[in-house]
Amino acid sequence: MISIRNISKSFGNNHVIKNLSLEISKGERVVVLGPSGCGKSTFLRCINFLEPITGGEIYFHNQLVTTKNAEAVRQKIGLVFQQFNLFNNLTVLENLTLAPTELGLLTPTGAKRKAMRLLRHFDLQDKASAYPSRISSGQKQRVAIIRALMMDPELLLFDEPTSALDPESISEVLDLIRELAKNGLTMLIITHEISFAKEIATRMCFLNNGTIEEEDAPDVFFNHPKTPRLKEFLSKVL
Amino acid sequence: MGDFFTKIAELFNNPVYLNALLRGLGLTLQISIAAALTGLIIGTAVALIGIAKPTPWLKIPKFLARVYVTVIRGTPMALQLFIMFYVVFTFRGFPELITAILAFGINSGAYVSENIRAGILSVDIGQTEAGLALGLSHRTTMQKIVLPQAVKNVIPAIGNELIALIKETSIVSMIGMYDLTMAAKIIGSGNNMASYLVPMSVAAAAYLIVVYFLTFVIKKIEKRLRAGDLH
Repeated sequence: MISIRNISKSFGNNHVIKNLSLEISKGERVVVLGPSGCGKSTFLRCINFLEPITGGEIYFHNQLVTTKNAEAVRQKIGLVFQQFNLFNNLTVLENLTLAPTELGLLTPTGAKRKAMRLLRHFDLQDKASAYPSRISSGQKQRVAIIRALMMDPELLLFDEPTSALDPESISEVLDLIRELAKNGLTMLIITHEISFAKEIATRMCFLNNGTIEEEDAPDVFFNHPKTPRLKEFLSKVL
Repeated sequence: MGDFFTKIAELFNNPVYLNALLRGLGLTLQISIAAALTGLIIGTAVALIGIAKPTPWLKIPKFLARVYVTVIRGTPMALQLFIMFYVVFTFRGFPELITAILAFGINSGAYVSENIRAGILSVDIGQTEAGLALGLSHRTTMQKIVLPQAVKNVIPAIGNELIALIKETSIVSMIGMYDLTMAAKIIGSGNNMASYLVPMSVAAAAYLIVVYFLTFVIKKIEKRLRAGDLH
């Protein structure tokens, strides 16, 4: 589905991503672990061109992603932020319906119906007319995920989706992601929740120094790490 | 002190003085309102040029916008007014009211543009990124998400600018225009009341009332825009 080939990203002399390659096929759930400051967030933001890459190529369905077609590609690749980034000037319902209606994918009534159906499904229907500042952090992140789902994404990127949550809210967000996984949604997840990663990943990646240093099935990745750096990392976090 | 109140009574009982004050107030309000609108339009345009993504097309407009803001904010308002009046619009028959409105509008626009720019930049970058990440264009993201939030942040600063503008229009009396300050000066002169204290105080009170009313309106708008959010 998506093929990331030797991409790099530099900010001036700071080379954050170096020759990073990754292929993700439909239905896979790839979890990326790595020490802080290793370029995880930048990597995700490069995938949907929020950060234009400075080297390499990204192919989405065998089509080269460029700044020109980035807007179209982003409609199909959702991004869930660590800080939720719900639109503060819009209600929960408006947050969900804005993009599909603005982009002409759904009629206003159609978008509203779909949004309400999803809100009901995730037990958030009574928050439809609330503004983001009035709901809890866990509810915010769930709404943010539903906002991404409104676009029927083929790939959903998660940038540490639980890192900004209060402890009680973490499980409600993880439960939602579990459900998406069960439904076969393709995902790339950056997280520090090791046990969640073990449970949900079909493949694990270790990102270090701006590149993927190790990539394996979860079982091998956690139990028989090959590189010393990953061994060291796992010994610290497990 | 008794003298002060007799003089006030004299001013308010003399239709000539009263009309002079009202006429002056009328001009002050005309210049203020028209210049405020001009300033808002210019300021918005300049701010949008300033924050737009740098493209070759915008190189010259961006440069001009920077020069405009720097020059206007770096030179005295009185001097700008004199230049407009004695240098730019010197041709016979050009209405001095328009000259004054343009001078103050252009001046106000520079300050407004900085206020708006700051307001837009104060909106969390995550808001823009979330819009873009959904596939929305830069323009839609600005229109639907960033600008509505920026307006809320900008209202207090714009309010201050409008208040400053109203009071600053008093310098049109320096080029002989008949505004509220000029009216007070004429009423107080030797041919009329032969005392400046009362007409000047009354004029000051008139400015104060206008500004107070404006402050009230701005507070109302702020309150309405903030309804529904806690931050």
